[in-house]
Amino acid sequence: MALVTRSRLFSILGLFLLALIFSILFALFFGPARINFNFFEMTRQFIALLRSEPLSGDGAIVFRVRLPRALLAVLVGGGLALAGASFQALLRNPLADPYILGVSGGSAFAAIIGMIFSSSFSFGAVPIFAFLGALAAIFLAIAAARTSGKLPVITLLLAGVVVNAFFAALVMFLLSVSSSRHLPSAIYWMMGQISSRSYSAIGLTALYYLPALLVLLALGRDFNLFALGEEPAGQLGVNVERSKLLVSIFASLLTAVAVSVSGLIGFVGLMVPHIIRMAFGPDHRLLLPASFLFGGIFLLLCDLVARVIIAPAELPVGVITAILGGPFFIWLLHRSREQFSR
Amino acid sequence: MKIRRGPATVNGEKSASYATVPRIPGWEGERMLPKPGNLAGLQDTFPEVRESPDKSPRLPDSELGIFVVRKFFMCAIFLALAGNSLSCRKGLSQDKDLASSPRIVSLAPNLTEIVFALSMGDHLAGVTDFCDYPPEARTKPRLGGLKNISLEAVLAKNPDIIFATKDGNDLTLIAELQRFGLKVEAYQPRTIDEVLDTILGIGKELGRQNQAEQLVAHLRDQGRFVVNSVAGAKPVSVLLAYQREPLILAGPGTFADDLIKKAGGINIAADAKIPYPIYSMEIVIAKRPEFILDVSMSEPDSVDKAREQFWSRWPDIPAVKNGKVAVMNPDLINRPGPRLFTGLIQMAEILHPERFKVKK
Repeated sequence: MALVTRSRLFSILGLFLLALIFSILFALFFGPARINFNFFEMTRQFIALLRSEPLSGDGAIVFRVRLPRALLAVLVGGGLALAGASFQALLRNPLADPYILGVSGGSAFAAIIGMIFSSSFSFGAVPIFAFLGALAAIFLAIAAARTSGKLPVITLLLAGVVVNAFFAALVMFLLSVSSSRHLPSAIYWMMGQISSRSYSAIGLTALYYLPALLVLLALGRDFNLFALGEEPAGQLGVNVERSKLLVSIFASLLTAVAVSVSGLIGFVGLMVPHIIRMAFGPDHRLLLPASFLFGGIFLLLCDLVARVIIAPAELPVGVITAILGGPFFIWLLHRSREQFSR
Repeated sequence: MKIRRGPATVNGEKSASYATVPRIPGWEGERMLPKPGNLAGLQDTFPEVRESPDKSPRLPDSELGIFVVRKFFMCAIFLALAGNSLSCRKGLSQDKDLASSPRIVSLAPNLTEIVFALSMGDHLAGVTDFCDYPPEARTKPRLGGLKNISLEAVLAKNPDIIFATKDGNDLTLIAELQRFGLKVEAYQPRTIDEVLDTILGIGKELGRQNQAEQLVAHLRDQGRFVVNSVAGAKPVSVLLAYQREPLILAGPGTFADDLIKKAGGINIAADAKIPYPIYSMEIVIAKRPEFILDVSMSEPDSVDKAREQFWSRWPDIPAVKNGKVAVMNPDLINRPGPRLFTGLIQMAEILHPERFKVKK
C-alpha cells in the first residue's frame, strides 16, 4: 500500500481546509433571499451578534440563519464521512456506512418515541432520545456479536443488520398505530434536515464530537495495518480487539450525534470516503481527516442546493444527498467491479 | 417574549372570552355568534337544531318482539348465505327508513363534525381515530386512522351510508366498499365555499336539507361579518406555521391561505409553489411578517415553552419583536368543517383587534 509522505499529507489537508473555509463563506453569500453584502456592515453585524444586540434584517439572515446552518452542515457531514471511513476500515467492507451497526433504526425508533411522549417535536428532548436509541442499538449489536471476548467482523455486521431491521420494524409499527399529529415531523426527521440551530446547540454538538474525532483520527496507523487483515495487524502490535471496540463505539457516537441534530442523512458516510480513496489512495492517516473535511464541504454544498433549488421552499437535504449519491454509487460500482468482486 | 394565546384556544375550553363577542350589525334578532369551537352555540342560535335527532318511531313492546324475530330471521338468512353477503346486506338496509334512522359511518373528522352539526351524530355507527370533535364523537366506535381504516370493521357496522374524503382516505378502500354494494359519498372541499357545499350535500343525503341550509346561511353570515368588519383595514402580513421544525407554512391553495385573505391578511408564503412548503427562514426574515399564527398543534401547556423558545430565537422578525405571535387551534384552520368559520373569526380578531372592540 502506498503511504503518503508527511509533507504531501499536510499540503492536501491544508488545501481541504482552505476549500472548507471558502465553502462556508460562499454559503454565507448565497441563498434564496437577496441581501446587500457589505463587508463593513457585516462586520458590524457580527459584533452586534457577539454582544447579543438586535441585528438588521440582512445581518439576521447571514448570522442567525446561514452561518449556524453552514456550521452544522459541516459538522454533520464531516462526522458522517469520518464515521463511514472508520467503519469501512474496521469492517474491511466498502459497503459499510455510518448506520451499519443499527444506528439509524435505533435512533429513529427512540426519536419517534420521544416525539410521541413529549407530544411535540421540541428540540429539547428528541435529540437526547435519538442519541440514547443509537447507543442502545450499538451495544445490542456488539453484545450480540461478541463471542468469548472477541468481536468477529462478520458477526458484527450481521448483528448490526438484524438490530437495524428490528428497530426499523418498530418504527413502522409506531408510525402505523400512532394517531399522532407529529407524524409529519417524524417523517421529515427521517428524511434528514439541516436547520439553523442556536449557537449553543452547535457548540454542544462540537463538544460531543471532540473525543470521537481525537480517538478516530489517532487510529489512522492502526487502520492501515488492519487492511492487511486482523492477524497480521495483531502481529504488528495492534491491539485488535480493543481497536474494534473503540472504533465501534466512537464512530457510532459520532453518527448518533449527527443523527440527533439532523435526522437520517444518507450516502454522505458511504460516498465521501470512497471519493477520497479514489483520489488520494487508501492511506488512513490522510483518508480519515480528509474524509471529515470533504464530508463537511459536500454536505454544506448539498444543503445549499436544498435551500435554493425550489425557493422560497426548501428540500430536506437528505433528498439531495440521496439523489446525487445513488447514481454516483452505481457509477463507482461499475468502475471498480473487479476490485469489489475479488 | 410573551406569546399570546388566541382569544379562544384549544377545543373551546377556554372560550369564555367569547361571551362578549360583538353583536352582528344588521343581523336579525341580534343573535349572538356561537362560541368558537363549540357547536352548542349553534344550537342556541337554532332552537330547531335541538329537537331530538332520533325520530324513528318507537315500536310498542309487542311489535318490538316481532321486529327482533324478523331481524333474527334475517340474520339466519344472512348466515346461510354467507357466501353471498352482498345481496343480503342490501336486503337488510332496504328494510329501514334511511331518513329516520340511518346507520352512518364517517371516515374523516370534518365529516363527523358536519354530521353532528346536522344533529345526526346519534346515528354515527363508526368514526376514525382522529374524530375528536364534538366531544361526543370520541365515544363512537373507531374504525381506524384516516389511511388505514379496517374494511372489515366498516362492513361489520352494516352502514347505510358512508361519508369519505377523496384526498384523506385510501381510494382502494372506497372502491372496495362500493364493491360490497355500500353507498359511499366522497367529498373533497378545496375552498371555504366548497365546505358549505359539502354541508349541503351531506344534509341532502341525510334528509336534513332545511337544517343544512340554515347552518350554511348562518356560516355565511359569520363569513360576511368578518369580511365587513375588516373591510377597509390595512392588510397585515401573516406567517401561518403548521410546524416549527422544520418550518412548514401554509402555502397557496390551503384553507389557511383562504382564511388569511378573508381575515384581512397577506399570507407571506403565498409565493411558494406547493401547499405545505418547508419554508426558508431567511425569506421569512426578509419578508418581515407582522403577525405569526402558530397552529402547530393543540398541545398541553408544558410545550408552550418549546414554542416560546423557538420564536424567541428570531427577535429580528417584527411579529416576534412586537409580541404578535398567537397560537390557534389547528382544527379551526385545517379541518374543512363548520368550525373553519370560527377560525376565521378568531383570526380576524387577532389580525385586526381594533375592528372587534366590544361596544357596551
